[in-house]
Amino acid sequence: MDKFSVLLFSGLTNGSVYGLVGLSLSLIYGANRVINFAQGEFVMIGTMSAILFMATYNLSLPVALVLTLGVVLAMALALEFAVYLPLRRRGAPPLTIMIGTMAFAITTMGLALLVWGPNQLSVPNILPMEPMTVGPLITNWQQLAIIGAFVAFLGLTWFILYRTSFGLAIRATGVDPKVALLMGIRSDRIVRFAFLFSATVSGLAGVLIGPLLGGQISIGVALTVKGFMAAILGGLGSPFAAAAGGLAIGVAEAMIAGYGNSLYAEPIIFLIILMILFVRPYGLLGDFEAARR
Amino acid sequence: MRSMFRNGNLAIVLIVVAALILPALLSSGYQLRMVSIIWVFALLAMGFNLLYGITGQISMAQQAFFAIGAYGFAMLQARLGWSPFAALPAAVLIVAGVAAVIGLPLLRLRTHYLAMATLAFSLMMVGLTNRWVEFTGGSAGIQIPTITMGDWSMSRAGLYYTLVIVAAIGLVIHNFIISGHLGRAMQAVRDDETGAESLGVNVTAVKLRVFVLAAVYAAVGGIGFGLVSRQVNPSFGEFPVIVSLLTIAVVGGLGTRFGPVIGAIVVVLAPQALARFGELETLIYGLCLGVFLIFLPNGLSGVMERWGTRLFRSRPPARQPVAKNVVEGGAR
Amino acid sequence: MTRTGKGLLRTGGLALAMTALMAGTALSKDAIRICSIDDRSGAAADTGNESYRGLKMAVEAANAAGGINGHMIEMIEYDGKTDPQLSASFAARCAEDDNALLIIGGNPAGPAAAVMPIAGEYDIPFFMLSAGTDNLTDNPAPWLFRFGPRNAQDAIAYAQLLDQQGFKKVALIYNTLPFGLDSATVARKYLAEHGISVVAEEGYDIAATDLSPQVLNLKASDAEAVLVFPYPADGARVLKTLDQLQVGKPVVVSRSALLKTLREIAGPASDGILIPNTVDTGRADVQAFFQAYEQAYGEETQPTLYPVIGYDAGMVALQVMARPDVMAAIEGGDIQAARTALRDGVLAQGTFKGLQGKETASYSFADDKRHGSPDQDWFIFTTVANGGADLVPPDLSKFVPAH
Repeated sequence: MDKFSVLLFSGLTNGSVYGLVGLSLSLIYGANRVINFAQGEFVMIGTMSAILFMATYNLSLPVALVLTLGVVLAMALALEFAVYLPLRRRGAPPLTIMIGTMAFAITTMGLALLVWGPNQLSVPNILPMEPMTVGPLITNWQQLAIIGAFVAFLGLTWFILYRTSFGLAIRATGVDPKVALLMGIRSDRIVRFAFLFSATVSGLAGVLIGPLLGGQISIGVALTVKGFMAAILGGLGSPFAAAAGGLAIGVAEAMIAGYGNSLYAEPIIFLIILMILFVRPYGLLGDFEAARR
Repeated sequence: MRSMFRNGNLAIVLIVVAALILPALLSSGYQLRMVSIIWVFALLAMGFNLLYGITGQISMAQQAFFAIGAYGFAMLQARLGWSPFAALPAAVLIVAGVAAVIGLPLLRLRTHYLAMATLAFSLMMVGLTNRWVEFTGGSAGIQIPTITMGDWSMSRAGLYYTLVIVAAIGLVIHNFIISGHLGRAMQAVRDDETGAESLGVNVTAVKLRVFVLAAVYAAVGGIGFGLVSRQVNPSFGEFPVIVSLLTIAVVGGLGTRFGPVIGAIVVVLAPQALARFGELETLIYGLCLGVFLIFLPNGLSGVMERWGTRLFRSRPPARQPVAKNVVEGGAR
Repeated sequence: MTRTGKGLLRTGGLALAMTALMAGTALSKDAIRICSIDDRSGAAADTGNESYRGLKMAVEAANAAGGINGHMIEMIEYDGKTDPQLSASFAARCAEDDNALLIIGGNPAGPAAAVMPIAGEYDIPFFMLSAGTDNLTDNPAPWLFRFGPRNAQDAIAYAQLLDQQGFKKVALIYNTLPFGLDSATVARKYLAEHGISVVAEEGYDIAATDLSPQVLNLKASDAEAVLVFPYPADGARVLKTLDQLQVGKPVVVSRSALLKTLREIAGPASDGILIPNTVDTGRADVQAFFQAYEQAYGEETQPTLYPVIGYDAGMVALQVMARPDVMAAIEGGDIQAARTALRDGVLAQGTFKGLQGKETASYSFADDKRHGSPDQDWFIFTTVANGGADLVPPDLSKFVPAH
C-alpha cells in the first residue's frame, strides 16, 4: 500500500466535501454577491432529514431521497423569501445580507434542535460501507460516492453554465449584473436557481457524508467554515475555482497530517490560506474577479 | 439642549450617571456581573462599529484580539509575575502590534475576502490556544487574580465602576472620532475608496489606524472580561463571540453613536431572559435577529433617534445623522 | 377590559390561589433550593442530559419520600449550552438571585472551569460532575467538590492495564477538541510513568470525513496498541478506518465509546475495543439504578458513568443536608450559614458510598482533597460485543501484544 496515494485519495475525499460546499457558496455568490453563512446548514439538514426519513420513518430509499430533497429545497426558498428578498428590496448591501443568512443559520439550528435533539445520531448508509481494495487503496462505496458526487456536480455545473442559454445568462450576470439586466436577463430567476441548485448540491452532500460524519445539528458551522476557506482560497467568483480550493485544502490537510504534524494541521492550513491571500488577494485562481473590479 | 442631545454629550453624561447609580438599585452580585459584562461587550462593539459601521471594513478577528488581550494580561501575570498595572498596558500594546502586523497586508483585501482572511486568522489563534496546552493552559485556561495593591483589592463593585469609566472614555473617543475629521475620512473610505483617495484621503493609513484602534478596543474589553470571569479560556476567541458581536451591531444599529451600548445591553441580557424557554431559545434568538435585521435596519438606536426627532420636531436635523449607514446603504 | 379578559383574569387568580393553597399544605416547611447547571444542548449535550437526569432521579426520589426532614427539594435548572460564559452567569444567578444551597453541574472542562471561580467568589458549594481536566482540582478551591474521575485517573487506569498486559509501545489518536487534547496530554504523562512509550501520535479535525492519513501513520508505527480519545461520531470513524486499513492492533477507547452513538455508527468495527468505565454492572444496586433510569425516561440506555455521577452528587448533597448541624443551619434561614454548613458537612463526613466504582471503593473528600474519586478500584474495563450492540466484561487474556 503506497502511502502517498492513500494520502492523496484521503485528501481528495475530504476535499470533495469542502469543494461541494465551496461550489455551492460560489454559485450563490456569483448570482448575487452574497456569502451564504447558512450553506453548511443545508448539509446538516440533508443529513438529518436522511435520518428522519430513512431511519425514523423507515421509508424506501427513493421516497426518502425525494423527501429529503424537498426539505432542502423548501429551506432554500425560505432563505430566499424570508431573508434575501426583504433585505435586497430594502437595498441592503451584501455584507448585511450575510448577517441575515447567519440569522437564518441560527434559526435553522434552533428548529433542528427541536426536531432531532442535541445528541449525535447515527445516519443510515445508502451504499455498502464494507472495505474493498482498489489498486493500492482500501476504500468503500460510500466514500467513492462522495468523490463521484463531486465530479458529477462539477460536470453538471459546467454543463449548465457553458452548454445552456440559461447558463449564458448566469455567466453574464456574474460578469456584470447591470448590463445583464439591460440585456433583458431576469436576475431574480438566476438568483432563485442559484439558491435551489446550491441547496441541492449541499443537501445531497449531507446525505452522502452523514454515514461517515454522523448526524449532529451543529455540524453545519464547521462545514460552512471549511467551504468558505475553500471558496476564498480558490477564488469566490468561479464555482470551479472554489471547488479546486476545496480539493487543495483537503489534499494539503492530508499531506500535513501524513508527513508532518497532524495535531497542528488545521492551524497550519489557516496560516497557509492567510499567506496566500497576502500574495493573491482574490484567491489562487481569482484573476477573473480581480479583473472585474 | 437639542444640539447637545444630538452631539451626544448629554447622552453620554446621562448614560454614565445612570451606570454609576445602577449598583445601588441592583439587588445582587449576579446582576452586577451582568451589567459589568454589558460594558465589556460595549467596548468590543465600539471598536467593531468604528471598523465596520463607519469605515466599512468587516473584520472577523475582533474576538481573536479580545482573546489575545485577555491571554496577554493573564499570562504576563501568571508566567512572568508582572503586576496587573504593568500587564494591562503591555497586553494592549501586544494586541496593537499584532493588529498592525497582520493589518497591513490584510487590509488590501475587500469585503468578503477581508472577512474570510480575518476569520482564518482567528481560527488559527483559537486552534493554537486549544492545542498548545503547555503555553496557554489548554481548555481550562488561566486564572486571573483580582487586582490588588498592598492591602487593597478591587471589589466587584470597584471593577464595575472602573469598567464604566473605561467604557465611558471609550465612548467619548468613539463619538469624537465619528464626528471629527477622521470620521469623515473613514466614511469616505467606506462609501468610495477611489473617490476618497482622489480627495486626498490616505486610504491605507486610515484603514490601518482604525483596524489597530478597533483591536485595542477589543483588547481592553477582553481584559475586562477576564477580570469579570476571573479567568481566560479559548472560548474567548471562539465563534459565539463573533456571533454576539454581529448581533450587537445589528440590534444596536451599525454606524450609530450609541448602537454598541444599546446592542450590548440586549445581547447580554437576552440569553438570561430567554433561558426559561429552554429548547426554544436558539430558535427565538435566530428569529429575533432576523426580524431586527429586516424590520429595523438601523437597530434600536435608529428607533430611538426617530423618537428623539419626533420629540423635538421643530426643524429637520442640520446635519445628516451618522446613522445613514452601511446597513441601509442609503435607502432610508 | 373585555369580559373575556376579566374572566381569564379571574380564572387565573383562582388557579393561583389554589396552587398557593396546595403548595401551602404540601410544603409545611420551606423548600430547599438546589441549582443544576448542565449542558443540555451544545457539543456536550449527551453527557449533560444524562447527568442531569441522574441528579433529577435522586431529587425526585427524596421528594417522593417526603423530602429531607420535611423540606421538599426544589431543583432550579439551567441549560449551560456548553458555553462557559453562559454557565458562569447562571452560576452567579444561582448564588445570588435564586438563593440556592449549592450548584451541581459541569461536564466538559470549559463550563466547569468557568463556574469554579464564581462559586469561590460567592461562597457557594459547587459539586462538579464529569469534567476531567486535571488541574481543575490541583489548587483546592474551598467550595469545590468533584465527583467524576479525572482524566489522569482514566490515564492511570489505561497505563496500569497496558503495563499489566505487557504492552511497551502505544500510539495515540485524538480529536483536536479540548477533550481529545487534554486526554492525550495526561495519557503521555502516565504512560511514561509506567515505562510505556508513545511511538506515534495523531490528531484530527472532527469535520474530516477521511482519517486514513492519521491511521496510516499509526499502522506504520511499531505500536502494539492504539489509544483513541474521540467524541462519539468521530470515534466511530477512527474505529472504522482502523478496521478498513487492517491495522490489527488492540484498541482502547476513552469513555465516549460508552455512548450508544459511537457503537451504533461503528457497528462491528467497535467489537473488542476496551473502554474504561466507572460503573460496575456486576453490582446489584447499579443494575437497579439503570432499570429505574430506563423506566423513568422511557428509553433504553447503556450503563455509562454520566447518569451515575449526577445521581451520586445528588445523593451526597441530600445526605449531607440531612445532617443535624446542616439542617439546623438551613432552618436558621441564613443561606450563607447553610452553605458553609453544607460544605463543612461534606468535609466532616469525608467518605461516601456511591454507585461509581467497585463495591469496595468510595468517594473521599478532605480539605486539601476536593477530588472524590479514588485512584484504585474505581475503573472497570468493559468491551463491546455483537456488532456494537452490547457492553460486556472483557476477556483480558486476549488483550496482549501481538508478538
